[in-house]
Amino acid sequence: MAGMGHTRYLYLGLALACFAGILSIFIVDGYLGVYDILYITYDEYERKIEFDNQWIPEGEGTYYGGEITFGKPAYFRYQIENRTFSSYEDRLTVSVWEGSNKLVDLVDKQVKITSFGSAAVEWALTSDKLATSVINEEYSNYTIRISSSSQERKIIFGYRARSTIPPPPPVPLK
Amino acid sequence: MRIYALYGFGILLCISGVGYLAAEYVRYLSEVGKLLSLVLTTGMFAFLGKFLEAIGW
Repeated sequence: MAGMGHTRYLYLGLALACFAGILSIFIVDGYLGVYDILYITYDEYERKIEFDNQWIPEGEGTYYGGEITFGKPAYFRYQIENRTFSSYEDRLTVSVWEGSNKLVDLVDKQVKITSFGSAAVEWALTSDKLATSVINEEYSNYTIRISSSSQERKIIFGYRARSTIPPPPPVPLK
Repeated sequence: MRIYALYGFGILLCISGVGYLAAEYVRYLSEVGKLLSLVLTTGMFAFLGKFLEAIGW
C-alpha cells in the first residue's frame, strides 16, 4: 500500500509539473520577444494594428489600415516593444507604394531600444505626397511598407476622393 | 450539500478564468510553444486522471 501512495503522489507531482511547464511556456514564449504596434489616426478615429496579435491573420502578412479621405492627413505612430534581455537596434524604413512603384519615402531612421524598453516612430502622410491618380479616380489603394532587417509589415489603405459630382437637381412635381 | 455547490461554483470560476487568460495569451505563442503547451496539457489531464483513479474516484 505504501507503494500505491508514492505512485499516487507521483501522478499528482507530474500533473503539477505539466501545469508549471505550461505556465513557463506562456511566460517565456508568450511574453518575451520584440513586438510592434501601429496606430493610424485620421478623421478623428484611431485604428490600432497589433501585428503579432491578430485573431484572424490577414492575407500574406498584409493588414488593412482603413479608408482615408483625400485631402485629410493621416498620422502614424509605430511602437516597438523590446521584451528581451538584450538591446534592440535596427534600421527602420517606411515607404508608400502603389503596386510595384515606390511613391515616397516617409521614414529612414536607426532605432535603438534598451532591454525591456519601447520606442515610437511617428510620421504623417498628406495627400500631396501621393500620386495624383487618386484625384482622377474615386478610390485608390496604397501600401505602406514598414521595413527592418528582420521583417516587413505591409498595410494597405484606401484613399477616397471627395465627391465632386453635384447632386442631381430636384425633380419638379407635376 | 450547499458546500459542494460552492466548491463547484469556485471550480467553474477557476476554469473559466484560466480559460480566458489562456485564450488571451495563446495569441502571443509561437507554433512550437503552442504544440508544447498542447502536449503538456494532454499530459497534465492524463496524470490528473491517473491520480484521481489512484485515490479511488
